[in-house]
Amino acid sequence: VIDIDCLLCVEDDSSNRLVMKLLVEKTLNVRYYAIFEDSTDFLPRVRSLPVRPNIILLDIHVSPFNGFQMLNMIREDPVYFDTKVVALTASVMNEEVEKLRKSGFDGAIGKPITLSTFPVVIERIMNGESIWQV
Amino acid sequence: MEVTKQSSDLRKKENRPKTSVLDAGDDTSENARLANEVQRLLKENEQRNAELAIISSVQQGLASKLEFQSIIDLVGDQVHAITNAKSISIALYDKTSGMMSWPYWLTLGKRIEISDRPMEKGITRRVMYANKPLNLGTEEEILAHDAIPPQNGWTVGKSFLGVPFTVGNAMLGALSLHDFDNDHAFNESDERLLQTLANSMSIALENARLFDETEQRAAALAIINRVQEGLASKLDMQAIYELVGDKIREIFRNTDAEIRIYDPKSNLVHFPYITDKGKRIVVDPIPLMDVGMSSYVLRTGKTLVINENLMQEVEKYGTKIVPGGHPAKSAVFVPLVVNNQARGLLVLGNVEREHAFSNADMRLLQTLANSMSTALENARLFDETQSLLKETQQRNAELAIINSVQEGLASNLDMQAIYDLVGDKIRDIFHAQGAAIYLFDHTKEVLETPYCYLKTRFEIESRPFPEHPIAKLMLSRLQPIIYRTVEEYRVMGGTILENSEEYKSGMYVPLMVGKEIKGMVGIANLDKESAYNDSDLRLLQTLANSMSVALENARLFDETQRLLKVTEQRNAELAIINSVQEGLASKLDMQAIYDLVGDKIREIFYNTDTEIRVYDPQTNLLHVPYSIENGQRVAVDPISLSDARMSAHVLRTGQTLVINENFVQELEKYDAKMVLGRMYHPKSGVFVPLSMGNQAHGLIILSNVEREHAFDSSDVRLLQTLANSMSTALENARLFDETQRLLKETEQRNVELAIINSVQQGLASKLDMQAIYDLVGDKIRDLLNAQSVWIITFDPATRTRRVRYSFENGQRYYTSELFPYNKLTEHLITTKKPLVINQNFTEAIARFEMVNIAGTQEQVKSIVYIPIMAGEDVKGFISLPNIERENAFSESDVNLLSTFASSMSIALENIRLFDETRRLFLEAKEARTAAEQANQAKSAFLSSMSHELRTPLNAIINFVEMVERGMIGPVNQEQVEVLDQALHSSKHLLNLINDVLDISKIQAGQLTLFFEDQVSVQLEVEATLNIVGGLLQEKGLQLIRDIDPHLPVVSCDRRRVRQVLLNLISNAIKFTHKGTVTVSVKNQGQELLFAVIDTGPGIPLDKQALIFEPFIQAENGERQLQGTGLGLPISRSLIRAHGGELWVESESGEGSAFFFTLPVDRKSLP
Repeated sequence: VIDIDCLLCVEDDSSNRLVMKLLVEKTLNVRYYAIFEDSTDFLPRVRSLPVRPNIILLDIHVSPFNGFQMLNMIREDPVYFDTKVVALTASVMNEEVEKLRKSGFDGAIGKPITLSTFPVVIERIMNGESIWQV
Repeated sequence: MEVTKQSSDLRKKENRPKTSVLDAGDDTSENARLANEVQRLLKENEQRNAELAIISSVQQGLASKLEFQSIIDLVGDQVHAITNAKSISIALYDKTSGMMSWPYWLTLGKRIEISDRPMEKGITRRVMYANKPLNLGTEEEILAHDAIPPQNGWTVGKSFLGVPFTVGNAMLGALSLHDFDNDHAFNESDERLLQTLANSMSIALENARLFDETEQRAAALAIINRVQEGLASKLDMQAIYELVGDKIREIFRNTDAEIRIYDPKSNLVHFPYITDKGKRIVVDPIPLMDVGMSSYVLRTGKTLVINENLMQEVEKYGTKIVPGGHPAKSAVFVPLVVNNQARGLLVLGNVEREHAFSNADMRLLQTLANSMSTALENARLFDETQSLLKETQQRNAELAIINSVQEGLASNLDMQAIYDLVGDKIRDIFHAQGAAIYLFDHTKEVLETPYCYLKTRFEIESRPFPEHPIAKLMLSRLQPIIYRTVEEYRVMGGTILENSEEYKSGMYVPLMVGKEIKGMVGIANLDKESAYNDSDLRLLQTLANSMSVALENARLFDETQRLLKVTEQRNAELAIINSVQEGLASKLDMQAIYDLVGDKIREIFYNTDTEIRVYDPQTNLLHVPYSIENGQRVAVDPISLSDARMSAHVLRTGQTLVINENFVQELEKYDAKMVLGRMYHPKSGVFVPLSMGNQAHGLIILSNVEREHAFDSSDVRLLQTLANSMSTALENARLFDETQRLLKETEQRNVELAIINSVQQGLASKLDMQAIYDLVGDKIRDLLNAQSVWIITFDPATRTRRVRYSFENGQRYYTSELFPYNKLTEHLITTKKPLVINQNFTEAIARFEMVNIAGTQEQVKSIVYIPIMAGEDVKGFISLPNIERENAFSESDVNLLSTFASSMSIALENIRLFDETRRLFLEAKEARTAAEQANQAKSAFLSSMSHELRTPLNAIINFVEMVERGMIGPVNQEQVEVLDQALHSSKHLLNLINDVLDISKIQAGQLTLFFEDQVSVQLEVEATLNIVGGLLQEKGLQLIRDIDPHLPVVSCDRRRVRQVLLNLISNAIKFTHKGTVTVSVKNQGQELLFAVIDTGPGIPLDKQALIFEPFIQAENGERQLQGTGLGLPISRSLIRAHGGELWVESESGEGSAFFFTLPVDRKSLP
């Protein structure tokens, strides 16, 4: 399993935050991770992380900034030029997935997350593939 | 050597005199001496006699010889006979050329040819310069005297005797004897004899030369004389050639002669004189070649003589052409040199013998050639002088003509004067008794003869081309025509003027302007034949050319002047016409037009009385609407036509009449009394008819009491134009009324069209019904200038009338009051026809029980009601009351209003239909929008629900799975089984959510595919089989793969295709308990055929349609639960969205086969 220095996740549903916590801890090899429960002061908070995140998993339906807005903030800061940004979405319709692709996400993982394939997908995205598993 | 071995008779003979001489010196006694002396004298005498005999015989021989060579041969042979010398030579020196020649050289009895050579050295030279005999006795002596040792082992001999001789003053020569055997072979007596013979020969030669020279000179003189004669009698070059050629042939018999002349311009050699075997022949010019005799002679200017081996010699010069065309044996080529330049050559050929041409011949030919050259040069110069002279004359003549024409032009002579001038000049120049200038009028095809002179001037009228044969000829040839005899003239079809002498000779040249023939000039000579030669013809042509240019200029000038005049006149006419037109425009009446034109005429013609007379056929009277007498406007009573004979004449003929002289007498011719200028007698007058069509209906009369010839042709033209203008103006005035009437009709039609247009526009701009009423009402008011307009509509349901438009006394009235039907309403509905009440409206009010609407009905004098029809129904009416007069409405007004009404009713009907359609359309649109909105709302709701449901499912499914897998803590087997059930149910719920979402999207028409190119079907099938692999194993079913190894990649929505595959395969597994599940994919070209075949219970035929309906499952008990019943309808929709088809083939108990097709390329679907 690939080593990840830092993983960040934004998830507003408490149950799903727990799911993410467990998935990260149990299936990935992550040295440091953080899970935000909303997107208030998103970028300052990302910058204040002790380690620069290698990968960020973003729920789309989050406030005050939704997934797309957060993506743009990351993309506009050159510090995060090689940070992978993955959408976590419960909207699996084709149109929505297409919108994610065009916005510049490195990949998407649909909800419910498939436990067995989650680490594989993360690893492939980290290796530069563009994966749209929804 | 043979020479030395031979015993020579010469030596014996030579010894003999020598011995006697020696004997004579051996004197011993007187007697003996005397005897010896007598003996000696006798011997001497004998010898002398012998010498004399020789000399005498030589002289006799010489006397009969006149040729150089014969004389020399004779002397040489005699010397040989006397002395028997082994070598005898006679040398001649030509002082002019500096060459030595040996006409006689005899050695050992053989004549030897010795080539000429310059006299630079040699023993002969010594002899000649010594001018006395040279007698040398030894070889040393001979060599010491400059003798040239002969080659090939010859020696100069042992003894030499040479004597000089003179020939005339110019030639020196020497007679030499050689002895090859003995020293001192020649004695004094030999010297004497030889000297005497040499002297005799020299005299003979001199005589021969003199004779020759005399002959030559005589011949040359003869030729020169003849040439001079030829020149004097103006013979041309050819004559000189003939002369010289003939003379040469006269001198040289049996000889063919040629004269070749080279023309450097054409590089041609001409043969003006050539004979073949003594006969004259004609040879065409040939180009001068680089090689050949002629070329050589012309190039070098040297004379060539070929006396031997002619053919070979000629070939040396690269030619095979020989004189006379026959193989000659001797030939001479002598250049004709003018100014150091060979211009030609004289060629003589003798076909009979070699050596036919002697030096003397050459000299003669040279002289002849020189004479001829000079003569030819003179002739050429003479010719040139003549031609220059002629050119000068010609130029002078031309200039004279041009000057005449220019002078004519300058002095404003008319064309005729110029023709006269030129004609006279030409007659002068050519001393011709007859001259004529002809002009072709190509449009009329007639020949004009502006100048014709034959001893006196003739006037000749125009005549058609064919009547003049020469003109016809000229037109077809466009070339000068010359005739030298009257016969030639006759042959051309020439005729002579009446009472004229025969034309003996003459010529015609065309008058050309550009490429067009304008005419011709001809001259005729009555005195002599062949009066004109080619150069005269050229001169005449040149003159004609000059003249035609000058005449063309003159003509153009003339034409310009004429056009200028015409333009001026046209301007004046236009001014008048404009005045008349202006008059018309300001609606003047007929009298005003007469006044206008009359005044204008007065303005133009001063001191002229003017009358305009108009004929009235009904009364047979001439009215005089305009009359100026003595400068005063006077009123004149109508005149009876029978009292105005002149006018009657003009009216009858329609012709203009001009009287410029003897006015009174002229009038009398027409049996007319003085009617014009009643107080004075006019001297000139003009009568111009006023015509319309072919009919004269009046006339203009002008008279001048002061002078005759007051009216020239241009005045007449102007008056005619004025008359025409006035006629037109009058006719226009008549037509004006008619036009007005037509205009009104047109206006009316325009009004109708305007209404219809307005209504159509109104329609187009979607006006409502009231707007149409307003529009039509306003239009009627505007266009008919109506005082009042009403538009009323009927409502049959309530039997009421509604006022839609009301305009009265300059004001719009609005009322929503409804009026019940009255009798008028019933009348209009029943009759469906317009009602016009033009009188007695009060009675009508009572009859139709009308209600006074606006309180003004009492005042109405006329009124019209026009029903508004819709199909057969009367929907209302338009009404126009008129309070001013009765009978206000004509039939045409009613027609117009009917048009309005029907236009309006159509428009209204259209509007009603339009409104109705629009209403229905809007309703339908609203309904559809509502449906769409509802659908979208449902779709949005479901989409949102799906999202909301997935969020907790994410937690449930993952938590359960993590626990089940023991990731959270240890779990026992029983717990795992329960957790697995929970997980299974959760996933089922998730599938349900997905399917519901899909089906709702499909039903809302919002299903969107996301195509990917290059999708590998094989990979998708394998991925799907991976997912269901566990299930297969669980149920113990056998999977059969039947997948084409060469499947193309396809364009499709990968996720959706996999969804379909998963649905079909999992269905198959789900409903099959034992046996096999077969998955096959076949390539069918444009599409792939998928099949999923199971060995399950199958689907009865009558249920097969139902399985594709949402929310329905076949009720076979077997097919139950586990599915939402949405899978197949969703799959079919997804496949159809790809452009493919999905179907089932099954029988109850026989398993099921599900097929679908998938296009390889993306299909654009509606």
